[in-house]
Amino acid sequence: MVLVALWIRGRIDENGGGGVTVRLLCTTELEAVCTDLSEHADVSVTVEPAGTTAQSLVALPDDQRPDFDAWLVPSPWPQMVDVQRRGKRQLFAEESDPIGRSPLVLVARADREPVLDATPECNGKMDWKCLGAVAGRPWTDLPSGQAAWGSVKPGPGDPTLSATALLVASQASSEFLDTTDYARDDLENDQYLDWVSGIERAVPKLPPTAASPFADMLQQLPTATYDVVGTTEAEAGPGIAGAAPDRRKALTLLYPEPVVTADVVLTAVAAGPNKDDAEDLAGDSDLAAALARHGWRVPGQSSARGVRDTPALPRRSGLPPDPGALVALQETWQGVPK
Amino acid sequence: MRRVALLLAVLTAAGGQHVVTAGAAAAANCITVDMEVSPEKIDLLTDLAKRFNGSDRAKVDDQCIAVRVAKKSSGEGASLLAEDWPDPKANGPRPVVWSPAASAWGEVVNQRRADQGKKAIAPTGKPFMLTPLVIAMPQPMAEALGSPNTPIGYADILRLANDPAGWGAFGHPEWGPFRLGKTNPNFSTSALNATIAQYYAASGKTSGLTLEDLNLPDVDAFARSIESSVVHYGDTTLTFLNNLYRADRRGTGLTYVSAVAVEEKSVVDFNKGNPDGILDPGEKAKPPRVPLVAIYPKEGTLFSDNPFFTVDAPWVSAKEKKAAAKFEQYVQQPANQKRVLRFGFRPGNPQVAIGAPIDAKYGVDPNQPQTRLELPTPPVLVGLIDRWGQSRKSARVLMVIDVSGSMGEPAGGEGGRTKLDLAKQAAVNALGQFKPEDDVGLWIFSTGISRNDPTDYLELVPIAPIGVQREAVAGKINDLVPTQGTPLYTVTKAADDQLVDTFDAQRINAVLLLTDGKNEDDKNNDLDGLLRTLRARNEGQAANPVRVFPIAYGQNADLPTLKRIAESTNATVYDAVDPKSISKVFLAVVSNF
Repeated sequence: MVLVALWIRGRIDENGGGGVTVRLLCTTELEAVCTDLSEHADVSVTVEPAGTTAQSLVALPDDQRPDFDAWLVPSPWPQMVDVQRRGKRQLFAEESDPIGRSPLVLVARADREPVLDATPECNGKMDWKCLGAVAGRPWTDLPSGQAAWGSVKPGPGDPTLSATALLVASQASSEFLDTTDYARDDLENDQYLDWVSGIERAVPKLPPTAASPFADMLQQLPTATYDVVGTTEAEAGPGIAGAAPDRRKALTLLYPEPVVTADVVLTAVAAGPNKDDAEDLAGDSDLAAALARHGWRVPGQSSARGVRDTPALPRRSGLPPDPGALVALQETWQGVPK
Repeated sequence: MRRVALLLAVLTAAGGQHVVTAGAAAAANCITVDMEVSPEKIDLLTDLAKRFNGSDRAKVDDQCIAVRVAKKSSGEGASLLAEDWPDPKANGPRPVVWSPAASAWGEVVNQRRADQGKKAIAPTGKPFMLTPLVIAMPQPMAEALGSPNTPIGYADILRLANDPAGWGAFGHPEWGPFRLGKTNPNFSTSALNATIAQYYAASGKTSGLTLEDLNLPDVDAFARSIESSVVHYGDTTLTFLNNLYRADRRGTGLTYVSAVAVEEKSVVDFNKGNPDGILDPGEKAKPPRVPLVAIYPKEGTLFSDNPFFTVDAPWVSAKEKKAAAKFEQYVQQPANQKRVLRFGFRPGNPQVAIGAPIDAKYGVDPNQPQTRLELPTPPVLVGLIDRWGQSRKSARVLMVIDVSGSMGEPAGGEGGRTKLDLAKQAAVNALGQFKPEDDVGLWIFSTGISRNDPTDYLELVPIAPIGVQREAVAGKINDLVPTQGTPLYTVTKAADDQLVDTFDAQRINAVLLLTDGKNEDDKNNDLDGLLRTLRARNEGQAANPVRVFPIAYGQNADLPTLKRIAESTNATVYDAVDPKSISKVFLAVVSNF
């Protein structure tokens, strides 16, 4: 796995020049947030995909410490790491309360969404469940589909690497299984596996880039790199709102129900030398402001352009309560024929 | 058989001049960010680097940043990075940032390093501008196929290439047979993409191409048939565009090439009257008489996505990485993305709308392409290039080597070797790039080299399949010794005569002419006559074109004259002024066949 790391040292705080510099590890989706934060707070920032971090932490021997003080990532990635470190020392302290939240969304090509809605599989409401049924089919097989569109191309992302993609896969699976409280055996069902495989087989094989499926989709318009992608409102809302008008018109933002949220938490390394300072960062107003500026919903902060008040966010994230279920989900999606 | 690994290792090294750009000299005490970029964007990145270096943003922790941009073909960059960028003196400084034409080159580097047990060096990069692969056609030809009202696909174009009636099938017999312009996929990103698209069309698929597909007899027959319509190959599409532009000025463009697989940006440049995208001092862009039209294949196409790789290697410090990140942010700014657009690329920042010059005025359509073709898996990619090596159009090449007295001069550098010594080694190495079915012959020339007529050149090995005479040709080359003067015009005409007299329409017919001097033949000083003859033989719908590819070797070679000779046959001249570059240049020349 390729590590993409950007290292940015925050400027020394003018009032507390001798204070502790917290080493913050940020997941790729939060790169812009952390870059902003490093301009205001005494932190040094490393950015890498959540899956890359998790893989190295799961393998970390007990006699070594992580080389950071806290991890800023959507929940429950830190818990997933500790779940997989069976028999080894627990690495993380308790997750903070969510600092910023964002509902998961579907972004579809505007001209293709009505075509998908009209299919018997979607029956007027496009969601991941029906997408899995039509993914990979030529558009000409669908009512009013055009030959120039090629085949139906979903972009769920890689749930083993991307924090967002894992949540998208969970939302999709919940739709298919009709429960948010699924467990490993639910994922071993043949129908489910066929459905996942249908989605994964239809994902276009493109040269790897550091960009998310949504970013690729938006950047390459009018070419349909993907027809429908899953992401957070935090990425898609400001991305679409800030895009040039022709690109903005080409995309539709949908909020599938039930709503699932990406909840950004800050989790300190349990035995870290700067644990207390790291945990204090969760309440830092600069962090809250940076999250809001970059599209996350943060109580008491103004929303970024393209971020709405509706739908209201549920109290819970809509993910399975057992983080082990998400580990099982990763393994399942990784293992299906592609 | 040509081996992909060998080609990736050596061929891509050709044509990759290293040029440190003006205005980007590293300032004292600044963090220097050396950046290697693919050649088609050197002007753009040079411009951006210059602006960045002079801006307030060029700072990390109050230390200034100096971005230095140099060009290197994507393939050459990939080869060098796979080997930890050896010999910076010869190859240029080790880059902090590498921007090849397409992200796929990063995969090539990492795969080749993995094969050697080395860690990846090219992290996933963010594309900062895009340009799709298109099929560029002269407008009347595109219209004859139904453009713009009828969607056209690779399969349609390729079917035409296979039609023995040629353009006669579309009511235009005066345009002659369908002639396809394609570069060599071991060198060129657009050629690699075009070859992928061609195999998709051959297999009737738009995704999931497999090794089994490549081996299907129908697919193989289709591919061979398409390749048979190729004019010649080469290391860069700019050769075709420059030749087409010159032919267009003479009013003969429609009989030079019918379609060329190029990047959309090149169509814009051509229609602006600047076919290679670079305006030399004093050059004024003049729109062509017959513009090109970009066909966006209905099956989908591939993109050059211009990633920005900050190299993950021991020679790149944390500070340099931070400085590189600053420049990357700068390039992504909307104001700079508008510059990207002005250079004919599609902006990578979605905040910037696709606008002029990506519009109908320049023969391109901002609302296309509608869909993408998938990149095959690495094993299929390798298999595909292997298959191309077998199915490509065969060649019939006469190698004509100057053995005049000046070839015995020292080449410079270590070992005291002569120019002829280096040329012999390069020629023998290049023989390995021909496939067994290619016909190759060898002549040498120098005034009075033979007592009998013709006295100025000598046939050492007659043209015959190289598969049965590779050793013989190599042996004759190794035995060469320098003799007298340079009867350049006489031998050029005689070599061309020979190939015209024995023309084989199923092959690329070409003369490879290596010379280090100017014409020194009192008996024949008629350059104009030579050029008239060559041009007449290469123009018109019934022409049996023989391309002359000269190599201007050493400082005393008559590059301007050789350029005119090449251009009169719609070929291109290769510059090996530095004798040490001859191996790379020889390979680049052979990439045309």
